[in-house]
Amino acid sequence: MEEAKLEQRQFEPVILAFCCNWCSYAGADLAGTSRFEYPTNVRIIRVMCSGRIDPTFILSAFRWGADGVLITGCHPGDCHYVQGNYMMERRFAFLKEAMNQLGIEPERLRLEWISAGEGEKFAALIRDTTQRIKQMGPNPLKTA
Amino acid sequence: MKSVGLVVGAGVAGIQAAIRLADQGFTVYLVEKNPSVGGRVAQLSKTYPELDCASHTWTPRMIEVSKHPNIKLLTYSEVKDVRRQGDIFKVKILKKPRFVDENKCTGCGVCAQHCPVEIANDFDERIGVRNAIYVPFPNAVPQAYTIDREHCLKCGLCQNVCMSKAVDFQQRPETIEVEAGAIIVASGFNPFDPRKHDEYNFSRYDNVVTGLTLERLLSLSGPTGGHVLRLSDGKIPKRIAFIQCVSPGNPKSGKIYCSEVCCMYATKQAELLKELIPDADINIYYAEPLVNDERFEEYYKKARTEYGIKYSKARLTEVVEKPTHNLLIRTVSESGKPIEHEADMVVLSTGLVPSASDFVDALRLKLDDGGFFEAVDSDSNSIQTSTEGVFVAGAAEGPKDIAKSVKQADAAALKASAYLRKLGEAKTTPIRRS
Amino acid sequence: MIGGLSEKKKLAKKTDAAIEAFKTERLRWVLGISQVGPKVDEQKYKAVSSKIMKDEIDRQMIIGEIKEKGPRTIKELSEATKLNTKEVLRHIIALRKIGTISEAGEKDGGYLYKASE
Repeated sequence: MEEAKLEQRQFEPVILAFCCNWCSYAGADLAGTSRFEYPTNVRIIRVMCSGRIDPTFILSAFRWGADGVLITGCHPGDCHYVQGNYMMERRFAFLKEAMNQLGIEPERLRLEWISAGEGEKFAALIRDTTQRIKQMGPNPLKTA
Repeated sequence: MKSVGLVVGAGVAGIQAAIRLADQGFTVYLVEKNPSVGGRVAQLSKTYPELDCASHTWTPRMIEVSKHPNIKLLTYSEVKDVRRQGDIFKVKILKKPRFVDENKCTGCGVCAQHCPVEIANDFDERIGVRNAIYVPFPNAVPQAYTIDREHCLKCGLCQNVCMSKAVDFQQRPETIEVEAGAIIVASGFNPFDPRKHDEYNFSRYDNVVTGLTLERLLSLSGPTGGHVLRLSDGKIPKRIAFIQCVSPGNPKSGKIYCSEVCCMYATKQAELLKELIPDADINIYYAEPLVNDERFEEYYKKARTEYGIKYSKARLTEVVEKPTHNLLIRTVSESGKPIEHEADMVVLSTGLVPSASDFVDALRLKLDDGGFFEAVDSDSNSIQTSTEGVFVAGAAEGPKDIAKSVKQADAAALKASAYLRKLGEAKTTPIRRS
Repeated sequence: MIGGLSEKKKLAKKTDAAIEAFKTERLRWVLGISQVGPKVDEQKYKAVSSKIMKDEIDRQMIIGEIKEKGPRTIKELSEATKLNTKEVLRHIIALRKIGTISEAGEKDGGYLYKASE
């Protein structure tokens, strides 16, 4: 019991964050320049639009050991490419179902809308996500 | 339009009658409710007694009805209303929308290859699959695809990939009005649904199938490519039991009416199974005596002696499923002795029941006890219905096999053509057959 | 922790199958349906698309198993994928129809299925 607790405290999740170039990446940038602090567990991958994210990217992320995947995009109606974020939203529902079917906790995948001016929100999101994933423990597919 | 005939149903009898009538020079409207002609014979693997390939024999005739200069083929259409006006029948035919332009569709099948929707198909007794855009079977006539509106997602992919631009979601049902001097009803049959008589809980057991399902499993073009296997686990069945006389009881006498063909088709299927699975142990259980037709005496004898198929007169009391999905068949022999046999697969040789028709009321045709169109003629052809000018042929008149249906269709066409000529001024040009 | 290792292997296989499933045209088209073509019935779409996703993942598991281990019987596929034999048969029938899989002899009272090339 003690050992497990120790393991969990030592567990530092690896979280991939796909951020869309126009809104959420700018928001992440703002968090940086405003010196809002957030943990280093997150690896940010910039994509031009959240709609560019293929479901296979997310599944592959989990397949190769990511403990959590975070997707951020523009608020509904604000997408630079008009429809992209709606497409991602639709895929998101499918991916949750797929993860359920596979036996990976669907809570490891998260979708949030971040605008370019929401630096603090971005930082808070990373903190919250990291905390939640820590609670869940490592991805069952994690390679040692 | 006194030189026009209407044939309802394009199965064996309908096709035969339509060709015969059209050869006489009459214009024939051939109406078929399914997207393709062919009826039940298209679902068969091989026919008795020669074990001829069913589609080999019938595909040429199916093509003939689509190309014959005097036949106007209306598929995916139903007769909705028939009114008599003097000598003429005024008929309303509903042409259901296929959402595919029959004239543009080349039958290439690219649309179905891409259609994401998959449905259990009726043609293969729901064992096989088709898409929302489909042809009911590979050699369907006409070779045009049809969209099943109920399952279509309207995603538009078929429209995108069709190189002939044949997909048309704007199609609407069309009512066609036809005037005909004579009508031949050839609406065929449905196999009896054993779920209607579910005392033995047949519908719950995966390895209890109907004769028609077995026919699809035996077919080379069927869902398993002619490999017969159990539906519960895909295993090859070795001990197979046929239960005969699975038919509705006559409401008046309570006695089960004989469909004439089941003893023969079960024997045929048993032989095909024995050829496919040489070490199969096959038992045919029958409650009523085997159909005594001198055409088939030799056939039964051959089945017993050459193929080793066993026939037992016994009354079925119960079918029980074991955890292995094998079946325990409990019967009572003629002498009253209870017998129990285990089988890997049970085949219900279901009888023939009339196929429902909307226009029955419109024509006010008399039906017999079994619900089939009653023939009132005094000679043995049995083709004249209770309404003058309306004839019946094939299984619509009562259960019968292919050979009898063809004969009856010939007789009906002959009678109909004589009737049409009598109606007068039938200036028609018979077609010479070389 | 031998049990844990084989569990992880199974999950890895399943996830690989899911990745392959999301590469198929059928599933990709269904995911994108709302954006193109005439109006779609939302309720019908949800029901159908969930089923298609599950079917495609299960089918990729079957195909993956055959590609890895060679021709398999329905019983072997059922054991490997944890799908019941009736389900496996249903998938085999569908895969047979599109030509992905075909019979390759008999084994243990059933037919063997191989990946067609």
